[in-house]
Amino acid sequence: MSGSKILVCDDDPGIIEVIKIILEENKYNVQTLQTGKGIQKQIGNFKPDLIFLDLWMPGIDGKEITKVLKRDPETKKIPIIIISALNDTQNISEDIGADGFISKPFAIPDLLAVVEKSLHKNKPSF
Amino acid sequence: MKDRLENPIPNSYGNSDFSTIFPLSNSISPPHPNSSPKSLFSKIVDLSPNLVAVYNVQTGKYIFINHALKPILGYEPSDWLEKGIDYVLKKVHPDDLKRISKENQEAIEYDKENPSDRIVEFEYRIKNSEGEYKWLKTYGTVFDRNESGNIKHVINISIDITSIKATEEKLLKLTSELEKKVEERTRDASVRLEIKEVLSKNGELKETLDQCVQILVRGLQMAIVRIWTFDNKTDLNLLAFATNDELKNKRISPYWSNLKSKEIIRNKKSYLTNNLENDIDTKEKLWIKKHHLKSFAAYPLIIDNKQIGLLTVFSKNEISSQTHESLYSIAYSVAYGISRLQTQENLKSSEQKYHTIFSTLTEGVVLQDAKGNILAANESAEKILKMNTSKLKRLLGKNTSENIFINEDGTKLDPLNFPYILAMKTKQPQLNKIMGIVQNNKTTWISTNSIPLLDDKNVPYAVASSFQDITEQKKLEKQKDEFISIASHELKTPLTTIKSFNEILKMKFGNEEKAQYYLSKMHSEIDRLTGLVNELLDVSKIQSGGLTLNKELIDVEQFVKEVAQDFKTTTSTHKIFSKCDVKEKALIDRHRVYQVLINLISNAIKYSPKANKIIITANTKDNYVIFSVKDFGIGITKRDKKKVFDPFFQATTTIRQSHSGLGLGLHIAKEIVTRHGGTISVYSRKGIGSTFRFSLPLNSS
Repeated sequence: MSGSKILVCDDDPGIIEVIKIILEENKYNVQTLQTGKGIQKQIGNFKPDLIFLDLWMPGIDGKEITKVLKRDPETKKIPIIIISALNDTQNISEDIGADGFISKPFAIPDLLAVVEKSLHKNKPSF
Repeated sequence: MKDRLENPIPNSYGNSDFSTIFPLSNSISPPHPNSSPKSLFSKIVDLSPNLVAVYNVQTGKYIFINHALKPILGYEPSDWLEKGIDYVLKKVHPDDLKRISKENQEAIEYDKENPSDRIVEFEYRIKNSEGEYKWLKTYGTVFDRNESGNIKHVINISIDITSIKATEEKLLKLTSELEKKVEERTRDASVRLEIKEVLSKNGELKETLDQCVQILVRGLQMAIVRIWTFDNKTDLNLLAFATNDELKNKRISPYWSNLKSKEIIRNKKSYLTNNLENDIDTKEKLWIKKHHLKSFAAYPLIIDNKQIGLLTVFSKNEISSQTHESLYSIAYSVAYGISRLQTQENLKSSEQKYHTIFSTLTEGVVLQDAKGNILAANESAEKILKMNTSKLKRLLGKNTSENIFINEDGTKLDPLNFPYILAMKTKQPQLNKIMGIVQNNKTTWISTNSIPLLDDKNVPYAVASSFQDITEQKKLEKQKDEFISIASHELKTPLTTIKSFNEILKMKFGNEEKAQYYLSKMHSEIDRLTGLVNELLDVSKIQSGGLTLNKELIDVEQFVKEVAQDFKTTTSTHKIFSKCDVKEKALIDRHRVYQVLINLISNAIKYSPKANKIIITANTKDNYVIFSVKDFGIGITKRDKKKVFDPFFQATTTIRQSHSGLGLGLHIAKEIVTRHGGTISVYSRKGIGSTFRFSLPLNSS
């Protein structure tokens, strides 16, 4: 859904850049964050419709952040997509309550597909 | 009567008034006018074979001696009549004379006080006319008394008891011999018993034999007793010896007995000589004589018909045949005792050997009976499990708050699945089972092997378990796994960026042929690199037992079509044919099974450069779905076939091209199939082609 706001959170600058480029090509509004710290503040300011979250960031536990965000009534409705280089990402993301996952390295169509799927799920029905 | 008395019959009578001393009984009428009391008396007395003599106590002269004197002692009666009693007494054996004189004197004294007609007896030796001593037994009594009551005459009747005496002596001798024999037998028996007792104890061999030889010296009064065994076939080795007090600390010559011993050994018979001096050669005669050794005997020690040694004895006394026999049987007891104690000592030393091995092993070893009770545990077992044996006996097999037994994945180990229990139940060795013991929040990891011991009815009676502490190993493995996880994560991050930018470029330069070509090449290389990194991560997971499956119900037909389709688009050299006869759905990990098929098909393409056909099939059998990938390529050699599923295996073939890989693909494929509960195999003929086949349960139990 074009115009939707996406927050990308990953410690690697290369990944952040390439995802931003891909998403912006597809008319999404993207903000990035290279650390988990301050994510809640940024969410408060930016109010994203979707969050990409890397599980393995040095010093920050992606799993914990997901759990916190899902507990917080302000943020729990925002779909979270886990991106990770670990092979059993699927299990982990289900365990912590994430809404989707994509493993590194990903194919661009797959990335876009998962974005679409998650945003559509969240579309309010009126 | 008086005139008859005045005509004494010569040689028989002395001068005396016989009528006064021999009153005739009134009941007897004189038979003959010529028969006088004297002649009657003479007739009676001369008939007697015994010597009858009457003598006057005062004068010592005989007044009467009968004819028996001649046959008994060879003298003429007249000879003695003339000479009197003193002459006779001179002929009595000096030893006996003293005695009978004393006895006679006593009798006379006694009679003075108590006059009576007592009969006194004397036994004595007296020389006959030829100078030989004869034994006589004489009964004497008062013949008559004078007016004052004193003894006037004494009558002696003597019997020749020489032969009786000789018989008596013989009997005495026999009796004493018999007694001696009985004594000897008793002594020998008690010695035999003592030796048997000593040999039956479980003492040390040398000590026991020392005791035996001492018993023999003491009990059988031997001078020297020695027990020898064979060093090798011929050399004797002195095992024990004892001597009597006299020979203690004296040098004992070994020569003769050694030489003789060798002869005895050859003959395997016992040997006895009671004439030692004459039976030996010069070298030892001196020694034998010096110590007054009279006899020597040797007895082979035989057990199970084998000679194991020799028992030799020297004695100062004769060795009777009785004792010789006893020693012979003692030798058997000793042989048996030696064999038994030697076996025991061998057993003890081999027990010690095993005990040493048992206690010094770094592996823990525990032996349990059929009920699980601990029969033995070595020190390493105690160290590794951090419990002493008595605690071990109480706790093993149970999870307590102090000791929690866990599986490799961290879940609690069901007591029914303890390796030793499984070993007993299945009667099969349980090898390389890994478990952890949590004590005080610390985990000790061990790798155990439990082997059931079966009796001849194939029933387990015990279990022997050995285990190694692999905590350190596990720690290192964990570190390695963590490293690999981190490494693969780090590798995949830039890969992601490269891949995505590559894709963006492809989109941007959609119309430029060359650019598309280059970018496609880059794309496949990126994917290849990604594949390698994933393989590395997978194999590390497999090694740490962490490969997990996400199973879901898959439409097999659909799945196979997809796989074939995916490959059709990527390979230009080969044609993929697929055939699927499976109508059912299978509960499998789609991603992983896809991985297996990809691997098999890639290999099929790689190893059939000259062919152009690959056939994928799927069908069901029993409750399994069977996939197979068939190629018509170079095939696999017999040698390689055995190792094809091993990690890091590279085929021994010149086909490497640019697709060398890590050699992990088939290993991971096998692991995935095994995790599902299936099996994978390969059929191949060199130069003709290969078919890889794997089965997966339709529904996992």
